[in-house]
Amino acid sequence: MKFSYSWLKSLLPLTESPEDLAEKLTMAGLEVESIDSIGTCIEGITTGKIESISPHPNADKLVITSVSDGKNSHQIVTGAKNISVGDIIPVSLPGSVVASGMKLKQTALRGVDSFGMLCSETECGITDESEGIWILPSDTPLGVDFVEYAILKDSILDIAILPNRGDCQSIWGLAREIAAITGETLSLPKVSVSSTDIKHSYSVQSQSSHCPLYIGRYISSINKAPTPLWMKRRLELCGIRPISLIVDVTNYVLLETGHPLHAFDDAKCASKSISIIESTKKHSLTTLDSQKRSCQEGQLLICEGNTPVALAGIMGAENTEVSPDTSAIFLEAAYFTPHIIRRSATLSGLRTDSSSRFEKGTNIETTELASQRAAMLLQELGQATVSNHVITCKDNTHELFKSKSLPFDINQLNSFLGSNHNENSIKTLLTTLGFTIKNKQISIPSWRREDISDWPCIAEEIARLKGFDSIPSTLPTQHIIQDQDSLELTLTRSSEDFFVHNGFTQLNTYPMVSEDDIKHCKLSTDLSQYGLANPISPELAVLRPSLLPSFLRIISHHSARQQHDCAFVEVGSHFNDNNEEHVLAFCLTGSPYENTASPDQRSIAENSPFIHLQSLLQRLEAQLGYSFTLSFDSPDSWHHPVQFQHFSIGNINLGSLALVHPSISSQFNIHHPLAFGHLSLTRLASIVATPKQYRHFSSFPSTRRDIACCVPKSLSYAEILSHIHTYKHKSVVDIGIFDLFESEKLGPDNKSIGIYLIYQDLKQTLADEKVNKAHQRLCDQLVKQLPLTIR
Amino acid sequence: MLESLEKIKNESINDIQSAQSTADCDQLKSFFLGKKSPLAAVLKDIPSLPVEQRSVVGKRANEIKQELSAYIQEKKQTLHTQQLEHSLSHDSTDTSLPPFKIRNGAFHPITSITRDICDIFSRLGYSVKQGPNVESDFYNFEALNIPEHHPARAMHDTFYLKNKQVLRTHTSPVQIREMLSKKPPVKIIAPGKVYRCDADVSHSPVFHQIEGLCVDKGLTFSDLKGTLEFFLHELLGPEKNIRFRSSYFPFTEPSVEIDVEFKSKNKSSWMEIMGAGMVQRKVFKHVNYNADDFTGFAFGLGIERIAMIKYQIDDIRLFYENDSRFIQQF
Repeated sequence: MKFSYSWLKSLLPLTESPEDLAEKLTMAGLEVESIDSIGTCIEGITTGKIESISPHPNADKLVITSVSDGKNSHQIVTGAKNISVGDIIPVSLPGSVVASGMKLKQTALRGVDSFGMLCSETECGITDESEGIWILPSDTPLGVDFVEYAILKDSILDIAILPNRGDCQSIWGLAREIAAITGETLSLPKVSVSSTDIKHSYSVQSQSSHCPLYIGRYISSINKAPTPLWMKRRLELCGIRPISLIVDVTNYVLLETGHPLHAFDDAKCASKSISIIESTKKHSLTTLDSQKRSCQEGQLLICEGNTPVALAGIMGAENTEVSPDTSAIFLEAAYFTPHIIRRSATLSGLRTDSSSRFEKGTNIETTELASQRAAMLLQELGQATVSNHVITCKDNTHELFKSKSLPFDINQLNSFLGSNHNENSIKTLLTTLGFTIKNKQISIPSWRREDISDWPCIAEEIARLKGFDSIPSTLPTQHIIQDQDSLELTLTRSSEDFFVHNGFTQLNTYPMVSEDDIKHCKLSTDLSQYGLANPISPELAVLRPSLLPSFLRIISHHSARQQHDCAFVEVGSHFNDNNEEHVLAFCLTGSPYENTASPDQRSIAENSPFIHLQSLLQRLEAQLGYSFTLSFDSPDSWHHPVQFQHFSIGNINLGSLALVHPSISSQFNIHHPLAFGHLSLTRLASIVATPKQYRHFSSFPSTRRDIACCVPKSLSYAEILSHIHTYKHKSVVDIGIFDLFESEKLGPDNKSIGIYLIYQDLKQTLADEKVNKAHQRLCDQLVKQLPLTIR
Repeated sequence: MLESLEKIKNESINDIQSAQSTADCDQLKSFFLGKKSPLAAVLKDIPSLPVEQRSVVGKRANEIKQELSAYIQEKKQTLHTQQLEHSLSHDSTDTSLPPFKIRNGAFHPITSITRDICDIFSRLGYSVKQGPNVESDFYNFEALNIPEHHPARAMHDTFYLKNKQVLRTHTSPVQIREMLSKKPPVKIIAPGKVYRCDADVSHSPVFHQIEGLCVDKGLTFSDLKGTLEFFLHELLGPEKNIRFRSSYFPFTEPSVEIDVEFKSKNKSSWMEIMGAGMVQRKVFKHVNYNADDFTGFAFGLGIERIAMIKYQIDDIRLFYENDSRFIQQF
């Protein structure tokens, strides 16, 4: 919200520069977002009257004028077209400086001396472009300091008003705040109206609890006077375009008091019966911005008879708009509750100077004052007649009319803040803000009733105005023993560390994906649950059921940029069946190995990313202290039909690892084998890891025996292994594979597997014969149970 | 006889000295010390010597045998070392070749900063908590003293799910969850993703916050100040100037924003880093804490902002583009 420094300065003596004031306001919670300095270069512009205009002897496009500043006449040559004798204009005499920074000198134009320049609005610094000289109102005094007269120099403070500080949405409110900060005395204009006994037939009826106060004044015989320059300038400086006296006065009072007012053209009000209603869908109106608007349920409307004449608190309608010819008005000053206006403004997509003030709350108790102030200004500037038949429609029982007080205990406040403020200085400060303190009770000024709800709010007032610097810094002295981090968090950190230390790059992706990407991954989700009601784009419209689509997008980004090695990991959320889980996701395409002269490792990983991830997952599983059960049945929809595995513990499915089906990865323009795995850390954390326990190991020598066998390709290693586990001798301590090959000699359907077993006893050195016997028994069993021949 | 012994010794030493290989040494050993060696011949002749000479010659002959044996051994060792060095120095391995190497992994900068911050607070005794991304209106707004028509809702551009739940707009709901689940005192921090539906150059619809909450008997605003000054000095450097500026949050009272001064060559500027305040008594009521017995402070900060300052990152979108050339730099 924009505030004029010079305007503030007219209300209280300010010794601070605009910058210093901005700093103080910012620290007190009125954050000054920018300071716009207007007319910084301008100097010495005055006003003059054109006494004569004569042709230039040497130039058709120039004229010679004589301009009087009230004391002296000056010969000034100009090319302006819009001037005539008698006009009062801003004039810049030699020595003065115009907005562009140009300093005026006496000069000769085509042989005729010119002692100054007639100024346009651009030269006065109030517009960027203008046509012709600025013709001033005929009552403008001559020879005045026009820089001050027309407020050509000022600083505009743009302040972010916090939601609880509706009371600072006006120049008077801000000035009150500044008075408390600086200790200066505030002097606001006196408001008084001399009203006349003029009858009118207006009546007002509020049919909504959202309008607890509505004040209507009938003001007539308003002269068609122009708005005075000072008022126009103040409006302009605060970002409001001057229109006509009546509109300008309502806007000016809005800026002064923070109360939005609305003037209805009396001539356009036929029934004079005003009502405030909550709209239904039937209603519609054309607002002052020429937009025809259909009303939504629950918007507040002002009706005249049965016709809506304003979207209450937001904008009036064209049908009762005041025009330059308007001479009588019905002036509305009302209080509308913040939330009805916020809702209404949101529904109509329309925010105005008026609605933004109602939204943060106006001061209900000064509504009448604002109405009087506008009447007074119309009387002063437009010689208007103000009827003393003021209509006040008021809900006296409304919460806001009740006075409010809180206990005041300086010790409590000081010990809450950890400060040591003196009681008297605090009382002075709070009094300046409008609080009154009596008998350990503090009563709240009407404009802060919604904001100040409990004693800590008083502590806040003290802290922000005394400055937070006045509060010492301490650390809590009590020792609080806190919970251990959750197992899920520990698992998250360990698995992130593990993958990063194994060459993976950690991602951080949005949990929202597009509906299309979910489909492309052959996944599904319940859109009625996880679809966003107000997505910002189709790409971010659904909470993901898996991290796969997010990963595919990132890999696709990399392959489009010739970055084909993608080893990525992320612990992120996925959303399924009313359940949000933290999932460890990891992928590999290309190789985690850098290029070397011997490319073996690189190409192994590149060609079998699934196997590479399998080995990492097995190491991680061991490090975390778990033992997963693997299963190789029924691939998921995104799995390669063969290269996949599921893992679980007990009956809890933890996730799966697979080569992504090429028909899916190709949709993301990924054309290399890509393996992706996901492990639910939320589920894993529900299972307690096997605690570590010492097991005795043998000090006797071990001995190795191999089984080299030929088996059908369809026989899996896992199946052979499970048979070995069934029939092995108890002294077998380790089993592993050392060889695997296929050859023509074995035939197209067979493979050769070499398996070793390590025999070792805890209590003795095993005799060769004993081992041979045990091993032979195992081999015999395998041959019997499986389609296997020992080679 | 003794002279011939010395002669044998000297001749042998000369020969040993000129040995070229360990094989030479083995040959010389059998030649000089073997059964058919000149020394063996002398020893064989001893019985034929006069009695008084026998022991002298015998003793000397044995001494020479020992000396020669040691000498050969030493020569052999020297030659062995030379040969090993020679063969090793002819290894053709090119050690300048890039090694067989796994790429360097990298943490996302958001993770690094989050961990840094958690570590600082863990030294102050805070434990880390997490909460869901999908929240109910109660946790995200209502319990935090942001009722339905509260103007502060305008500060939160909220994403809603079709089932009316919200994507949390801040990490503050974790405060509520924690307080509802345990009795005071409480000392927690909660990092996580938050969502706002305004995206432009400087905003991302998803970003990260860390929330902190400390509740106990007798906590004061000066405790909040001391805690956050300690934290910011640890995170950004002890020389940084910090200021507390009045602000507004519905769930704290008084509320402040905390700015840190950053100085470059010839100008300095204050940058908003975090928000904080004393826990609103209405919030305590929502979680059934007795607001007359306990006070507390809460704070929150944006992780991206800290990361951008610490690593001098100028575009927030880089965090979510997830280009590995970006992440690998941290």
